[in-house]
Amino acid sequence: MEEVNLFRQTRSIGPAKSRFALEFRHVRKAYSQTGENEVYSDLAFQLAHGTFVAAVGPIGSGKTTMVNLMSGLERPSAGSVIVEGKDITQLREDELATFRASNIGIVPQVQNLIGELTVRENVGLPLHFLGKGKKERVELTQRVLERTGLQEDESRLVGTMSVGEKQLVSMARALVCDPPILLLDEPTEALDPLIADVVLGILRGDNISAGKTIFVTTHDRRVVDLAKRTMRIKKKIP
Amino acid sequence: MDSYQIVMKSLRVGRTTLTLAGCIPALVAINGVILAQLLGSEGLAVGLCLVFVCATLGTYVILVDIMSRSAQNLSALRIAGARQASLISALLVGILGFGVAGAAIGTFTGVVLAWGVGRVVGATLLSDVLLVIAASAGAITAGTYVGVGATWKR
Repeated sequence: MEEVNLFRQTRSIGPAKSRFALEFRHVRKAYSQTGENEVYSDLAFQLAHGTFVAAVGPIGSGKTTMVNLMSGLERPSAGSVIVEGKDITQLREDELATFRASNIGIVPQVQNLIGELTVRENVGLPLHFLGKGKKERVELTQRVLERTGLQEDESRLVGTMSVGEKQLVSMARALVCDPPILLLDEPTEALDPLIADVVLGILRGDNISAGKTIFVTTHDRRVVDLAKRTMRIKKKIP
Repeated sequence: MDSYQIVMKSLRVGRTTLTLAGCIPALVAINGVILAQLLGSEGLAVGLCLVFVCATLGTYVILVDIMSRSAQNLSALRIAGARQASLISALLVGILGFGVAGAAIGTFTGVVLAWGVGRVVGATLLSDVLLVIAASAGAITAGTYVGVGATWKR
């Protein structure tokens, strides 16, 4: 029986042509309207296509906030965030979700997987929301499961996995749509050296051979060494 | 697994929730149909309003509860690219069938009860029944839309 996909996109929100993969224009971010808890007051930078940047800084310096702003999971208090030529601060929530699913792979610091679903279901989740057909979903998911070495665990419930294994699943989910930008928030934290090596190998491959733009926050020296550039974020002294 | 089933599973919508989603329109439909059958067109108007308001409210409460209990999974769905519309359509596929079935059972029961009382004045029984089911379906759709919308927006 032919499968009916409920989530087929009615219009594409693809990337516009741009010199930069990612751009912050005078971004201000505060967590209260009065301006208290200001994380960034006037942040501006650009990331070229295919670059690999490691952001380092002390806890509470705003690294996760930066990843959330880049992915549109948080909106800036002022200024613009341009991703692949598109000002994501101007997109409506649903447009942003579609844009994010096809352009940005996110590996958040806090595990954001669904414990009730299997590894395969979790990894293939973005493909459902992009309206991909069943055959394409199966193929793309299989490919990324093999690449991350998760094919033997594909039927396991994610809720039964260790932190390191979940991180790999999270990584696989970020890669399944083959997005041009990868954002990773401390991806090797709490990983054993073996799984950390797998993650680093994937990052290296994706940046060098696939030309993906990678932004990673980290405290891990190995990740910093792997990156082409390092961004140092200082903690704001109140 | 179909897309809607993945969303239902992610939001922990199981048989218990679906049964509850069917029971609410069933119970309201019983009252709506009895009113329509005993009081004629005025009763039908009141009954339809009752069905719509109560079923919308019931569905809304269920949806808000589902979304609140699954806040972490909702966040995971958001990161995976879920849109409000995709959640609504997935939940509607799951809930609407149970809701309409519940409303149908409720209207049938209401008709039987009204006939048991023996003071039936409803002239167009079939249209009354269809109207109550349609009101239930509309209410479930409205409740799902409002419920998901209220919890999806940050």
